[in-house]
Amino acid sequence: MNRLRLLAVLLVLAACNTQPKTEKIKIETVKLETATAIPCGITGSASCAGCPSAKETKALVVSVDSVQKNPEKYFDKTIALRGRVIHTCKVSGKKMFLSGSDDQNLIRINAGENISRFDESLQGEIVIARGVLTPVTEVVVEKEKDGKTACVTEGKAKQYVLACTAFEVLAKNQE
Amino acid sequence: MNFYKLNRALHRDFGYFFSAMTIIYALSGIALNHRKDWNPSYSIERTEYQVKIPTDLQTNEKKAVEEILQQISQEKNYRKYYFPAADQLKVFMNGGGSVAVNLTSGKLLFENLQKRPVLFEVNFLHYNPGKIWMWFSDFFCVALMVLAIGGLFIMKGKNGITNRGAWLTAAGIIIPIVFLIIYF
Repeated sequence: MNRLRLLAVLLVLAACNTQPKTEKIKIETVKLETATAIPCGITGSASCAGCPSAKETKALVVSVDSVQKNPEKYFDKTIALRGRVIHTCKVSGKKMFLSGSDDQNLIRINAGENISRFDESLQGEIVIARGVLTPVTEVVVEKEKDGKTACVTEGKAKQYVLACTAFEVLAKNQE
Repeated sequence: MNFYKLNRALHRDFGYFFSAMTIIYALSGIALNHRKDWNPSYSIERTEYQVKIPTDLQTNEKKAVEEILQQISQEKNYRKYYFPAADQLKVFMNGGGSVAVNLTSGKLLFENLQKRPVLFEVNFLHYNPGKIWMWFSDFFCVALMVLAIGGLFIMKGKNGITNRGAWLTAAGIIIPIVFLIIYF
């Protein structure tokens, strides 16, 4: 009986410690290209997930179009990429795709380990995703089988990938 | 306490405690194994419609978009929209679906998503939603190894590891080795 009680207490403790569904919002600032600071997690920012440590708080905010125009400038650097989420991976939830003015040429965003998943409700939102941008060396796009589940969007994001450590959704007045 | 008694107790209690975890990973394992053949978390239905494009789209954007969606009875189910090109409209629906409209031809493609009950949740857990879950699932994996190794020594006698058990265990080892030889 005592063992059962101990087990119940341990279970309750474990349940209390689990990660909350809405991740904690921390205040941070990012350095914009235009030298204007965009605060993450303050009023106006709809949400912020996986906020990074103090070491990672500064990054250039660049648009998807800027990266597409001059990608080499941003390779292997921590940037804050701004773009519209036009697709989130429905299988793993670990990938989302950002579009600029050309929705046929996307940038893939991979979720870092502190981001549980990119929810499908992000689709359509303008986000700022922070992380290191690298060129895609090998594209693995799941092959279409009977037109069922092949990810067409992934095929449009063959060039660059951002290993995302944090992201925030911009509120309407910031878009 | 002798080894056999301790082993049986451990096997029994780990078995009880991790029965749910085993089912979660087994179920999602099957679902994800076949992710090239189907979407394991959502059922996706794509339907094409021919719609009328309102003439006041330029001047009264929001109302026009809602009028388009009204033609497929989805006017109250949308979250956001934007125009990827001058003749294209993309609408994002609640629940992750989307609507793509060709504003010149009036062709509309509605992609409706429905979460697969149970499978969505187990797949969600399978993809490590958080660090604490990751540690717990690591613990589960260690427990599975304890269960597997301990399980070999539960039975004694003719069904034990020295007789029938040895043959079945050997078969279970040989099969993955054969596949390794074939695929590697």
